[in-house]
Amino acid sequence: MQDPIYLKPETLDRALDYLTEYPQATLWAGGTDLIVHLEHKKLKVSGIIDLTSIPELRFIEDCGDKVRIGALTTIYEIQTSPVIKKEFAFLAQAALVLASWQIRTLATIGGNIVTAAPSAETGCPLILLDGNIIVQSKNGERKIPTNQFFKGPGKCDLAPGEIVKEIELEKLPHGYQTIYQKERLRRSMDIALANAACVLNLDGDKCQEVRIGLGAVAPVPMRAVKTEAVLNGQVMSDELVEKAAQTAASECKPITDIRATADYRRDLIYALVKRQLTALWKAGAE
Amino acid sequence: MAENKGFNCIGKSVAASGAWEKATGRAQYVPDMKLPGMLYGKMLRSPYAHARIVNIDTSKAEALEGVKAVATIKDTPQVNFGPMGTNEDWYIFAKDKVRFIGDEVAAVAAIDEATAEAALDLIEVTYEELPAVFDMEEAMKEGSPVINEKWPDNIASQKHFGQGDIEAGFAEADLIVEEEFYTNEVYQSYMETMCALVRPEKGSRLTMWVPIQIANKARLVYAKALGISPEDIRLIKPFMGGGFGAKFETNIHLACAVLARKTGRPVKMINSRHEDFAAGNPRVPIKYRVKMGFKKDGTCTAKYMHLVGNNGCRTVYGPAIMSTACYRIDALYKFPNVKVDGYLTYTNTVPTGCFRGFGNAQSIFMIERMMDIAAEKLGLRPEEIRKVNAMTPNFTNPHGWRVGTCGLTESIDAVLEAAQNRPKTEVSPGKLRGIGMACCNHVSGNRGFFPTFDGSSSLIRIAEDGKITVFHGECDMGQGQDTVFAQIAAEELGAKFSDVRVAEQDSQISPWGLGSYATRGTTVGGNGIIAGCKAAKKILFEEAGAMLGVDADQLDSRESIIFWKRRPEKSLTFSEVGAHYVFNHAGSCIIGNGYYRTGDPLPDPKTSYGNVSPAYIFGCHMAEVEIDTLTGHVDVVNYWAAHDSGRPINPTLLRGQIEGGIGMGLGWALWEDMIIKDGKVLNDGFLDYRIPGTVDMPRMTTIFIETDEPNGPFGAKGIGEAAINPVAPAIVNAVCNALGVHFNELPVTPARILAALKTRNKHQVI
Ligand SMILES: Cc1cc2nc3c(=O)[nH]c(=O)nc-3n(C[C@H](O)[C@H](O)[C@H](O)COP(=O)(O)OP(=O)(O)OC[C@H]3O[C@@H](n4cnc5c(N)ncnc54)[C@H](O)[C@@H]3O)c2cc1C
Repeated sequence: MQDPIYLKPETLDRALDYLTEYPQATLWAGGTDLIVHLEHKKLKVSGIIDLTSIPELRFIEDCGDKVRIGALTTIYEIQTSPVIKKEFAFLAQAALVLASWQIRTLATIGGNIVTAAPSAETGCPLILLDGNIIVQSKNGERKIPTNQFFKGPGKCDLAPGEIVKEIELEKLPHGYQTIYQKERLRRSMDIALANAACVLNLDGDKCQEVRIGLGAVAPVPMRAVKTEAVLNGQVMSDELVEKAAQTAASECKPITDIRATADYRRDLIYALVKRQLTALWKAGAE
Repeated sequence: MAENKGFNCIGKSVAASGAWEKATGRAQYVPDMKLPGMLYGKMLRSPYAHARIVNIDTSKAEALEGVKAVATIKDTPQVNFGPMGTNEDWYIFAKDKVRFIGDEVAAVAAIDEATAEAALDLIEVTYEELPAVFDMEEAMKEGSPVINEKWPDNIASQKHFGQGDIEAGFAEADLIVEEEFYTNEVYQSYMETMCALVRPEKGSRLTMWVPIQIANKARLVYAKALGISPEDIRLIKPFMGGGFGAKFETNIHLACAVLARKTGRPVKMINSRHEDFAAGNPRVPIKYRVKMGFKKDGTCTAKYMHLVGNNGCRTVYGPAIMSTACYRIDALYKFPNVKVDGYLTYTNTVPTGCFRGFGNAQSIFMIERMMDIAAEKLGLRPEEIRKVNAMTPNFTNPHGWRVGTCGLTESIDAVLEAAQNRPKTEVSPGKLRGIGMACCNHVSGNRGFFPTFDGSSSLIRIAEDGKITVFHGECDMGQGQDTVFAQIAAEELGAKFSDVRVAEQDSQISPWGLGSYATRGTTVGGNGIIAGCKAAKKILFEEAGAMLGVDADQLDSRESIIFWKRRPEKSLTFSEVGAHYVFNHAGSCIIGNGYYRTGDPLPDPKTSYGNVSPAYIFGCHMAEVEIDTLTGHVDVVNYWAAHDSGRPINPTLLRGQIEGGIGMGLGWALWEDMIIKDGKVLNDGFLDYRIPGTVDMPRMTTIFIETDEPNGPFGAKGIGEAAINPVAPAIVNAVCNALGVHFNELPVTPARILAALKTRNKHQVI
């Protein structure tokens, strides 16, 4: 058996050269999805371009009104970053419940979004934030708004020859609260049966702006627009929260698979949205 | 812990043997081993549940560079064999047809795993699909596809027996309860998948390194399958990554042997986790229809059970498991009148086998749910109905089982008291709490499993430096059997614990033992160790007596020093006596060869009447659960487990067994389920087959109800299987208690709980 070619570039330019030379090669970040795909024989590898030694792809930078996150930043770094915790608390919360500690120290945010699992932990927070996924090829840079990057299960807006470079995210205005939660079969490491994220800006009890993202209940992490419409401009109340949770449960588009039935996933979305809105509303009112 | 009652070594939590090797990574498991010239084997498994094999063309695979051999049924003696004499329905590779998805069709040996795997894709098999049957009851119906020609009705075994007068029993009942139950198919989830390393020796001889719970019995079965004599197989059991009942006979060991013979080189084969799920030995799922009669005070007057178990397409130990499910619970409670009709059917699914609890775990789920259902109808508390029926010491049950020590009532009282004293915490909003109880029993060394055999033996060698080596034929699969045997040997010999080593099990030297199953190791195996020690001690003391000029029976020993009881300063060390003996007997060292048998006749195969075990074990568990009313998620928040396992030999290991059993049972109660569709295991990995992790474990309290079992070594009995038996019913009873809804099927998943909550709320509205 022929061993695959293994390349370990130290700059993004070098990596792009290699990718031009070996277009069939697999880009390797933490490898935590790739190893599983290899084991399940869903992937054959002819060459590997290991991105882990490219320092320019691994950073978290506070740029005033924006935060930039390098694609090779690990989930553990996101979970513990003071900048992320301050600006996008829900992204840090999502990172904290992704896989296990061991996996988080290897897994990268770039890998998480390129894998584009409907249940991906970082998906919901990212689609609720204004910002771009920046990809680079020999032909230059391309910016894809975060809410347009995911295209389907395992599919994202990434063309051959492109490497995800960074994620730039606009900070939320003052007073915006965020929350992320996942529901899973067991409390120990497990893939989400459903997950949800919420951004809420209250004026007293009035909902000035809400953004709700739902995961594992559609081909891609989805924005719950109907639910948001129920809430925007309204005064928060138990009845309103109930109506919003029901709307979310009916507007999501889950499937039945061996992990859960579509109906049960709707029930989980109802529970998640109800709890998240209640939590943010009660916290915001204080 | 009670104090030491004059023991030196018994009752001490010495570190487990092998712990150092494991902690430092030095322990060699089969997957770690590598021999010079070794090849790697891979199995081609059937993608069809039932199909005729029209042709197998191996030429392309054989032509692949690096491939050394491809083996099929033609490379084997083609004889029928099997773990159970009553149902010899195995071949090493599929002969003429495949019977389940995962059936062994061919195997490849190559210079590396990747080549072997690539070769699998080049084997061309022409199949002609046959109608298949997957449901255990469907299989018994007229006109169902026949899976094994010798069993045209697809009934692998059946049992019909009873004791007492069932009709009279029902006639005197104040309440009759009829219910149906289902215990599902689950996987043992050991760390090390099934594997083998086989080296061909001169002629037809083989050396096999295999992780197996029943090395010696398997050797007989394997010899028959390979057409050689048992002594032609040297079987070594190295470090073993768990078993929980699964690691009995398996075709991967034999396929590996066939490849080794064919290539003339050592071959190693390891199941991938997917293969292990698809073709391991999962638990026998059982459907129950039960009718029981009770008096107002809860006394059971009659019990009728109808059960059907799924054997899969060929027989591992299904018949024995089904039979156990029929009546072992009759030693948990005093049922005066019992009758059972039990069936085990062939289906085109993975063969099922032993899993901690061996049929009793299934029936304990059923009976402990039944007890709660009856108690509710009678207005009794769960402990009340259990206590009026509970087994008591020195009682002979309707099947002739002579229960000696029995701490069942004490176990019930102990968990109740502990649970009552729990810190009362506020129930969080949106949550429901419930508490549930379940009792258990088990044998400790089931007899008549391998009908011509009963008991256990050991060889004890005392070398010229006074160090002791214990040779036994049982099995340490990680549970700590070797540690317990070393403690028993040190105690019996009066030796220093650190001077005792336990030899790796190797058929070239170890005595013929039956191995680890039926919670027999400590009780039966331990008695075998004592017998060997007694024989060695006799020689040792005779030699020491001659050296000291004192009668041997005037001597005693402690901490490896032999002394005259009257004047203890007159003494010799084990090493002084050992050296003297060895050098005066031309190198022959002190060897004690002893055995233990219960002496009772074996139970009657037809009526099942007869004392089945030298000792019986009991326990009671309680679980407290908290249920999320929006998601149905269950958190087990508190757990109490009391066990009568006789005198604890090693409290830490005993506690470890109990806590491990709780974890294993928790998974079974709440999530674990092999999802099998049209014969295919859909969740064949740990991504979608979830076992509990540390975060899912409850706060656990373990309580030892110490009895002094006269038939056990130093009063000890076993634990292994008893530890899982009551867990699923205790947790499910707690869930039912919280919700006021009955669940009679495993597992009780969050989705099922939420559905039940919704209908319950609807009823409340109406
Ligand atoms: C045990 C286990 C548990 C898990 N649990 C979770 C969980 O709870 N939640 C969750 O969301 N995920 C989970 N995962 C999945 C996985 O860990 C994450 O998706 C992780 O973020 C992937 O990152 P990685 O760096 O390891 O990706 P890799 O495996 O290295 O790569 C994944 C894919 O992305 C591509 N890729 C990586 N980086 C780039 C780049 N910069 N540009 C272009 N393409 C790129 C690769 O070519 C590959 O196709 C789990 C995985 C395991 C093994």
